[in-house]
Amino acid sequence: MSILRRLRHFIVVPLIAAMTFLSMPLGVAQAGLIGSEAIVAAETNAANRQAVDAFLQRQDVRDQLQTLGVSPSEADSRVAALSDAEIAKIAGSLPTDPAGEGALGVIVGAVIIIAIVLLITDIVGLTSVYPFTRPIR
Amino acid sequence: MARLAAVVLVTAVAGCAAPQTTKLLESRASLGLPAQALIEDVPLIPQEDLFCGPAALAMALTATGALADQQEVARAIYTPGREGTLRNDVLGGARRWGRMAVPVGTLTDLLAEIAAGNPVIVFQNLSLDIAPQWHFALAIGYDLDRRQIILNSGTTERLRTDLSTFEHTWRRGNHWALVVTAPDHLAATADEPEAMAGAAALERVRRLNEAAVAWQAVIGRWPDSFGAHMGLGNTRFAQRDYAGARAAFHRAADIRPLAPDAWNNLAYALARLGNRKAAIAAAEKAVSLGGDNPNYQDTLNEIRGLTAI
Repeated sequence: MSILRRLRHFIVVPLIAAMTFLSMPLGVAQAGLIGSEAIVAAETNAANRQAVDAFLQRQDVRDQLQTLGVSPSEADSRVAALSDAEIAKIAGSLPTDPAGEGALGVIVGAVIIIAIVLLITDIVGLTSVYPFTRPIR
Repeated sequence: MARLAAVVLVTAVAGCAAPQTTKLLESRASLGLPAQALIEDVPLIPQEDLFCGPAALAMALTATGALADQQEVARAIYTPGREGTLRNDVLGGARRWGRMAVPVGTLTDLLAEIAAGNPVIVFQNLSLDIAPQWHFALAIGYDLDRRQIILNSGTTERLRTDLSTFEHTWRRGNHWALVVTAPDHLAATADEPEAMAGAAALERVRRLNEAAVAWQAVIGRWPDSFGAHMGLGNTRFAQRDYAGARAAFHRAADIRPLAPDAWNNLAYALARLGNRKAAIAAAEKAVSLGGDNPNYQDTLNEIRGLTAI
């Protein structure tokens, strides 16, 4: 009896303590410094949204939207519904206007044809494969 | 056959103006670019077989005063299985040498960087999309009157290439270009998020001294940059300069008093400095400003717990 009682002290009490400790939620704490990359990401997202908003404020853009049948306020709400990643994509493509895309993608042929085409395109200044060619203007 | 080639050619040429070159040359006067520029002291590092990427980066690094030879750079960025160098590895490689690396996306910005004395690594497809021939080179000069860009390319020093030809080859490389600078010297055309991303990346690769210098440079150009003061604080904290970190976080909190992140990080700096009362007050402030974000409450709990030990 007294042995059992002693056992209770030496085994049961530590066991209870251990079980209590283990059942506590571990790894929940998220505390720590807010990292630089998280801050930069937040700042960048804000800047991207500003850029897209400013783009939508431009009169020529508003006119284009009108002809597409989208009112400025509707455009604003559509933009507001986009995620940060999507906004980043739009912001990245804002300043460039797609112009002069080549019809070259349709050319498919044997290597010899490609080589001839490359020589010709080198000469007119589209490519720069052969070092001995100089583009004409 | 010849007729076919001629038809193909006419179609191709008609569809392929070099839009940025045309626009740039038209609006030359308003851009404020000098007519010519050449960065003199960037000697060619002739590329070894398949090493155009390492050679271009080694030249760019050398131009910023870093010690880098082609073989050493190749070990860090070249991918033998692809017989080439991936663009992201060039970007990461610059940072592993403790340099700021910032992308450039337009021809005007590219020339502006050269005019400011910063060489630019450019990625080209010298051939057509159907038979690509990828290439890295270092742009070191241009001449608007002669419509040329000057490259250290392959084994050729100061290769003069027609600007519109270059634009075509560059477009086929998706307009990828990179300015590599010493950390105390920001790229001329970098905007604030780009500059901050470059500095944060230095912190990530644990080039802490360079990161601290880079944050200072960002602050030099944008004195009220919340992100740069926060970044500087984080870098100093990582350097165990807790007083310096406290000052930077304080400045961030001055700029944006309602930003819980500033108070959260300030709390840690204060705690490290042994200022328990102020640390708890800062953490409480983060909690009160942070709404339902549990991170700030965890910070407060942690900082209260620290002093109990």
